[in-house]
Order: sequence, then C-alpha cells, then structure tokens
Amino acid sequence: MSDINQTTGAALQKKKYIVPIGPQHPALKEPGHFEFTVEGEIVVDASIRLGYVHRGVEKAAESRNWTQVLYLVERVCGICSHSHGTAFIQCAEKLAGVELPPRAKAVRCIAGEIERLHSHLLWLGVAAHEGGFDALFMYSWRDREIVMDILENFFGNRVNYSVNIPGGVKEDITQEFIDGISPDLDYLEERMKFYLDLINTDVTFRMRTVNIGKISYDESASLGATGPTARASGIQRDIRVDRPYDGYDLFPITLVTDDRGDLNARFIVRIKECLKSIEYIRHVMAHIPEGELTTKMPRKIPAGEYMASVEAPRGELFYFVRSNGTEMPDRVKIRTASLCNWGTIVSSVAKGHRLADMPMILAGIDPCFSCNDRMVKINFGNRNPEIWTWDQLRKYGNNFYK
Amino acid sequence: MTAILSVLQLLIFPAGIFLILISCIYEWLDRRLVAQFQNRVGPRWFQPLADILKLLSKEEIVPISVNRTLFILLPIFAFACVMTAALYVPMFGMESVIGYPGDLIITMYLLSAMTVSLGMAGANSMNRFAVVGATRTLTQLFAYEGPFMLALLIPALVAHSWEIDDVAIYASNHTWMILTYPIGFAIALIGLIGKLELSPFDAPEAESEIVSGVLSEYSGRGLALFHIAKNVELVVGLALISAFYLGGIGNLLFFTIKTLALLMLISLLQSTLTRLRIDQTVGLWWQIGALLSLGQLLIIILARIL
Amino acid sequence: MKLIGIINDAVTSLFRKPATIAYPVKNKPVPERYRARLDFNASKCTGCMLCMRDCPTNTIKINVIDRKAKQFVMTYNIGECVYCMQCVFNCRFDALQMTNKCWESASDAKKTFQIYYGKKEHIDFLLANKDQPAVDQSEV
Repeated sequence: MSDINQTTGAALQKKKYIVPIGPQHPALKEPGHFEFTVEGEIVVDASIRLGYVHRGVEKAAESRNWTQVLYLVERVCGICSHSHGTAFIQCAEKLAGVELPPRAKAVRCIAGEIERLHSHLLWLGVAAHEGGFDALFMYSWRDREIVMDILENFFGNRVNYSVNIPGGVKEDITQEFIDGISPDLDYLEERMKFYLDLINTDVTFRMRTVNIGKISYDESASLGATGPTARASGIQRDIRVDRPYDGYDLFPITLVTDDRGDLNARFIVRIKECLKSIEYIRHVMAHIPEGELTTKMPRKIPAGEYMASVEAPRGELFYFVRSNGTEMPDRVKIRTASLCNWGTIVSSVAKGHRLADMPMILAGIDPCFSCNDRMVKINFGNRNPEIWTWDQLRKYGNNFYK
Repeated sequence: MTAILSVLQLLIFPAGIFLILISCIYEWLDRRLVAQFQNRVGPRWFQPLADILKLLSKEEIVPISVNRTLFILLPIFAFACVMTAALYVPMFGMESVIGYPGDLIITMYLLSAMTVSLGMAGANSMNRFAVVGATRTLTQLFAYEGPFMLALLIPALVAHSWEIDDVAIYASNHTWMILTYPIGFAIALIGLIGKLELSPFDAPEAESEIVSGVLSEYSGRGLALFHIAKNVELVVGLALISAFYLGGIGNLLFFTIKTLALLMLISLLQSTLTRLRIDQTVGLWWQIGALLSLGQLLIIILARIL
Repeated sequence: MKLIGIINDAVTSLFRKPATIAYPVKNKPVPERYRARLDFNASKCTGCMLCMRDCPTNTIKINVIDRKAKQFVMTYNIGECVYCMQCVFNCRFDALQMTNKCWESASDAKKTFQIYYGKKEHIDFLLANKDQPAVDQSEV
C-alpha cells in the first residue's frame, strides 16, 4: 500500500494524467480502485487498490462451529458459493476421516458444473457489456436465467443454493431432475455453440478482442495465473484434472486450453468449458451411482491441518483449515481465484493498451472484488503495534486519507 | 403578419415545442426498438419526455473550477444550433421554413457546431472523464465529418443546387437516390450514427470507461438541453437523409414512415455491433468511409463529363 | 450474415415476446422445492436444540414452556434466515419442514418478520413476558 501511495504522490500527479476508475464507477459492479496513467489514449501505468469490502470472514469463521462456517464461507462469493462450500467442507471431511458416498460426490460434481455454467454465462454478459456489446449482454443473461431456474427448481435457491451438508449433500438427483434439466441443457448447448460461433466470426467483436490483452505462456506461468485466464494462455492447469476432488476422480473431465492468450482466447476457453460442462452433467446424470447421500459426520473434528483446492469457475480456490479438536475451526485461510489473476493485469497486460480496452481487459479475468478482500497486515516499523485500539485505527485511517 | 408567422414557426411549428415533443417520440422509438432487438421491454412512451421535464426542474450544479459563463451558455448554444438547423430542413415532408442558395452548408455547419460545443463543454468541465470524452468527441468529429459532408454533397452536386429545398424537389422528381447512389446513402446513415454518438460509435460516451464522457459534470438544465439537442439532431438528420436519398419532399405520412424506417435501421445497427475504439473509428472512417465517398463523387463527376 | 453474428437473433426477437417478466404484475409460480418459510410442528419437537446449535444466523429459538410435557414455542425470523435447510436435516423427529410459502419475504408494512410457532396459549404466555411486537403465525 505504501508503494501505491508514493507513486500517486502529489508531486507526480502534476506531471501524469491519471484516470481513476472506481471505487464507484459504472464499469465496476463492486468497489475497487484502479488508476490508469495515460498518455493520450495509451495506458502507460496501472495500479490497483483493493480492500473496500473487507468483511472479516476468516475471523468470523473462528467463532462459529463447523456447520455454521460452511454457510458462512458460501457467502464469500455469491457466484462461486458452491465451490467455497465444497472446498471448506472437504477440509473438514478429510480431517474427520469421513469418506463421502459416491452418489454424494456425483451430486457435488453436478452442482459444481451447473455453477460453472451460470458463472461463465454471467461473465460473458458482463465482458460483452464492458466492451459495449449490449445485445450479447442481454442475450447471454437471458440464457443464464435458465440456469438460475434450474438451480431454483432443484436446489431450492438461486444463488446460495447450499447443496453441501457436512458429510454429504442435501438434494438428490432424481429422475424428475434429469427429465427437467435435459431440454434446458439441449437449449443451452445450442446457444453456447451459437455464442462460440459469434465470437469467432463477428467482425466488430473480433476487432475488440483479438490480440488485446495478450499474456504469453511464460508471463502467465510466472505470475501464477489460474483458471480460464491461465488456460487461455496454454497452461495445462485445472484442479479437476490435476488433483481430482470429490466426484472428479469417479468421472474424469478433460480440460480446455487455447494457446493464443488474448481476450478472444479467454472468451473461447470459457464458452468451450460451458459446452464441456453440459456434456459432463449429462454423462454424470446417466451414470450416477446408487447409494446414500450422507454419512455421519462428527461434531468435533480431530486436531490437524488440511489444505484443499477446488476449481471454482474463476480458477483455483484454495482453503487452509486448522482444527484444534473442538467444535470450531482454529483457523480458516481463504485464497480466492481472482486474487492470483490481478497480477496479470496490473504488471503486464495493461501497459501499452488503450484506455478503451481497459474495462474489457479487467473483465477478462472475471474479477470478483469481494472475494479478494482478505486482511493484509502492513508493517511500518515500530509504530505498528500488534493490536490497535479502535481510536488508534480511526486516527490512522483519518491520517491515511488526509 | 409575416413576423408573427415566423415567430410561430420558430417557437411552435415546425421548430420549437412541436419538434421537441416529436424528438422525444423518436428517442423513445429508438430506445424501444433497441430493447426489442435485445429481447427486452424498453421504456414506456413518455419516458424521454419525463426525463427531460425532470432534468429541467432540477438544480443545475456548476463545478467550482469551470468557466461559469461557458458552462451555462454552451448547452443553450448547442440547443439553439440544432433548433435553427431544423428551420432549413424539410421536416415532416414539408418545404423548409427558410431557404436560400447555400443553406445546405449552413445546416451542416450548425449540426457540427452542436458537436463542437459538446466537446467544448467537456473540455471546460475539468473532469478527467469529461476531458477524455471531449478529446474523443472532437477526434470522432474529424473522423466522420468529411465523409458525412461529402455524402450529403453528392445529392447537391447531382441536383446542381446548394439549396436543400431544390435538392429535395429534384429528388422527388427523379428516381430515389438510394438506388442510384447507394454508397452515399450508407455513408450518410452511418455518419449520422457517428454524429449522434450512438453505438457502435459511442466511444465518446462509453459508460464502462469514462462514465458519460463530456456530460459527466452536467446536471439539471444543461444536461436536459444537451439531451434535447441530441434528440432534435436525430430528427433533423433523419429528415435530411430521407429528403435527399429517399425521394424528397412528399406526403407527410410517407415521409414519416421513411424516417421511421431509417430509425429502425439505425437501431438495428446500434444493437448488433460492438463499440469501436476511437482509433478504430478514425481508421475506419478515413480508410474506408472517405475513400468510398470520394469514389462516389468521382463516379458522379465522370458521369457528368462523359 | 456471419459478419454480424447476432443479427439473426436481433431480427427474430423483433417479432418475439420480450423475455422480461413484468414482475409485480405477473408472477412466476413458486417452484416446489423452493426453500422459503420454515414450518415447525410443535407436537413432534423433543427440545433437543440441535437446530439452534447449527443455525448459521442463530435465528431459530426454541423456547421451553414445559420440557416434561413437551411444550415448546419456536421463534424464527424470516428476514434473518438464509434458507440453508440445515435445521431440517438436523432434526431427527421431522418437527421442522421447509415450505415454499411466503416466497416474497418483503413487505411494505413495517412489522417484523418474527414468527412464533406453537400453541396459542403458549405464544401468549411467551409474549406476555416480552414487550416485543410480533406477528401471529396465521397472519403471515
């Protein structure tokens, strides 16, 4: 934070022309602050400041029991709520030594893939809107509504559907579900093929996406990109394939990559992933194993540590959980997917592009601001005592923004 | 008596209040059509009028660092420009109120003056988004202005007159110029989209980049006047193009239908294309637009010589 | 028209009904499995309090009137509930059920969404000891 403060100091501000975006800006649906130093239309420098929506989820998790924390972490991010829940409860289940019944694993997989569909369709609309293509925005969100209806009809809620329960899942994949979802999946498949065709052929859209925001394989690998952003640069990285969790070991999935690394590749990778998800849901539904949905889960989780990763729609979601043998977790550390991908924008992609491309490049990594806001401790020598009182914090805050 | 008539013509019909109301209807139709093309509902018919009335009744906030006089006068100037331009153009298929040789140039000048005042308003606002928007507005002005002007001059050259009414009468007595000079028509229509800063040429007011461009600092009366000016410009532009390219002056009903058909085409383009970057806009106009309109001009000149 | 990819959709939707639902005027039917208001069957409750322990928002309260006679009143606030259904899974005696009633948990009235489940005299007894305004079960 001190670095950012120095570069935006008053002395430099006179020379540079900085276009601030955020914390409140029509392009941003969540608060985040970006400063683009421009020369004419060309962006020469970019900086980012997060932390407007810190909610203290990790600390709150330490004062709730394991079941309550499951529902708390689902609310870290509304779009990938199932991934958060799955990652956390995996840690708890592994620590307790509970093996999930295969049917529960399959249900978790299906929920995860439906979530991926809904997240990617949402992203498609947002990214198109940032590029000024409102028709695609409206159409993709219209089609996303179908996925939302599936979630509402079968998992009970539209956003935080909480399919997981400690030691299993709540909702079963019944014949009714399979019959209900099949026509929707067919329609979605047709639409996704149409969108794939559209982004590959539409002239104006290609003008805005091809060779924009290019990240090479090496850059992407060294900056630690994850998820579709990394796969669009040709990196073979997908937790579902590399370290299969839950049902992905029973039903393997193949990954989608593209080696061009530009915005267009990110569109293509995400839409192809949607097609793959549809295929995968059909496959799992056809071969769903019989059996129980839940197993018994102890209230007290034995002491220990566990790290779990889940492939959320945005990339690798990482959870570290430490238990001290009580009803409550001792420490929960969350590292969300978009945090890894911020580096790719700020350090390399932004420079040299035009200001007009910035919203689309920003949207290209599918950013999620609320996800990112984990506590970061800043050390300013000895004037930073370990515990601050409220008054000290207030004073520090007032001085910081003076 | 003539003085009273002129005042009536200026304030009530065809310019003035009537034009403002009609332009609200056109804006509503545009928004409604775009909504329909995107499979949604769109606003109800009184929405644009309600927006303008609400804005007019609201407080106008003048930022501290701006030139106050300019900030207040520029919207009025822009509004006056387009209202005056409406007098020269055969609105609703009737002969224009004022007409003299060379009024085509005056009209084009007035329409451009509106865009220039928009750019000046942005540059005067001292807001970063507005300044970026102003540079984009003026850059875009230089991009489309040349081809657009040439596209409107083609019918004038064909009709051997620089008076809008003469050209319109010539057009109504001959085959529609959209058939004989399709390139000129296409450039005029796309130029109008650029002039109105509608998608795909809406880089000057791209909401996801620079909030609302030049109008970022405007509120209340100034914003309302700029809105009215843009709406009226839409009507004037449509009337001009349909008078030149779609068979000139004629029946009020047919003329209106023609302008509505043009509006539909504009909103279709608006809803199906992605916003172009400002460098792409400029490149497109100078590389393709200017060449095409020059080619069309060349064809006319060659046809006349041979 | 490959060059303008979406033009087919745009032109056909000119003749199609908009996808928008005029929400307050027209309403979609509530899905059967939708999770909305929680129902409590006082006669089945044994007062084990497992639902209270795992409720993520601590909104469920089982008020014991008489443990021996199995007389309980459950209080619950729709506005606080996150509809996770954990309590239903925790309950071994089927005393709690998720229903799809009360789909719109929003109202213009400024009354609270606190709901009391149980026998009438028990609720009255409970309310007599509190001065908090409440909504009767039958009203919601």
